[in-house]
Amino acid sequence: MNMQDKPAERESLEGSKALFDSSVDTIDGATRARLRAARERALEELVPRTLFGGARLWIPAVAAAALVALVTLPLVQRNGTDADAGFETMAAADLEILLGEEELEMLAELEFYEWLELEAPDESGGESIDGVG
Amino acid sequence: MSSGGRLAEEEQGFVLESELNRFLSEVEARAYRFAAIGVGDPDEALDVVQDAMISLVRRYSKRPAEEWRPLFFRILSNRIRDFHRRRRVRDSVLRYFGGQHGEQPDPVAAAADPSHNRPEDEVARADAMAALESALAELPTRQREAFMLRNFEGLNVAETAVAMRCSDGSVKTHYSRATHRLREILGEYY
Repeated sequence: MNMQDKPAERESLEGSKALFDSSVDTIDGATRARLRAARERALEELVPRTLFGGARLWIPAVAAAALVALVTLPLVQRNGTDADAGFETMAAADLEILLGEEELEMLAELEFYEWLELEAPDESGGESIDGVG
Repeated sequence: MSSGGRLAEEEQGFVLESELNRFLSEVEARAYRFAAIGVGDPDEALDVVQDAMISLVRRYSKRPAEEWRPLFFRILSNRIRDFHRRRRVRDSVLRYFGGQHGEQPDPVAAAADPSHNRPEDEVARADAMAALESALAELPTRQREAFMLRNFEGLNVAETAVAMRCSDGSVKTHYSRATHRLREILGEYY
């Protein structure tokens, strides 16, 4: 309210303010509850900065670093030593065997191959029957 | 950061949260009525107030506490203006497609809780408030803002200028025009 307002005008202004204040005082409980909820929702915007300090910044950074490591580690290993390369070749071959259709047939006739191995150990020269190993 | 530094930071955070909570709890009911008069719909008013609270916390929580009030009402006034802009667009679209002229506020939902006073006093007060709200709705937006911020919220000229993002002189002009126009509209009520 302006101090330079005339008395009659000041009275009108005070009356309108009193009306407004009264309308504030008579806000119903449900609306007040919703306002309280809105306030709590707004204050949640502060939580990452207060309760957890800089966690908001470093948690995503650690997660991103872990993801990068997970993706790049196999690539780094692939470019490693010859021994690593040999191991990788073997692993790939094992996988190929496990996935190969003919090897499934071999497993089905395992008893036959065991018999064959017992019958002719010298001819195989110590190698397994499929030459892999 | 050392554990002592982190503790100090957390303590500062709690103090800030406590101050903001106090400020918002003091201002929320008045802001709601301010917004309800501005947008003419209680549900929209709640949304507008919540948006303003969130925006204040996000953008201005680090500012000195004495600046929060004018800044909060600046955000609130902006949100009310945004609401009217959106509604104008929506209404023009609805008119184009032959729909209704927007949704009207529910008068029952908008009514204040009459449990505090005698019924006849409450009716008289409700009539007067309805007349005042109707008159305020007839004012140009800037005049209404100046009047409500100065008279209802008790902001001084400088604070109102911050809230309205204009000069002190503009505030005085808008406020003066608003009071004259209200007197014309309200007549015996004013």
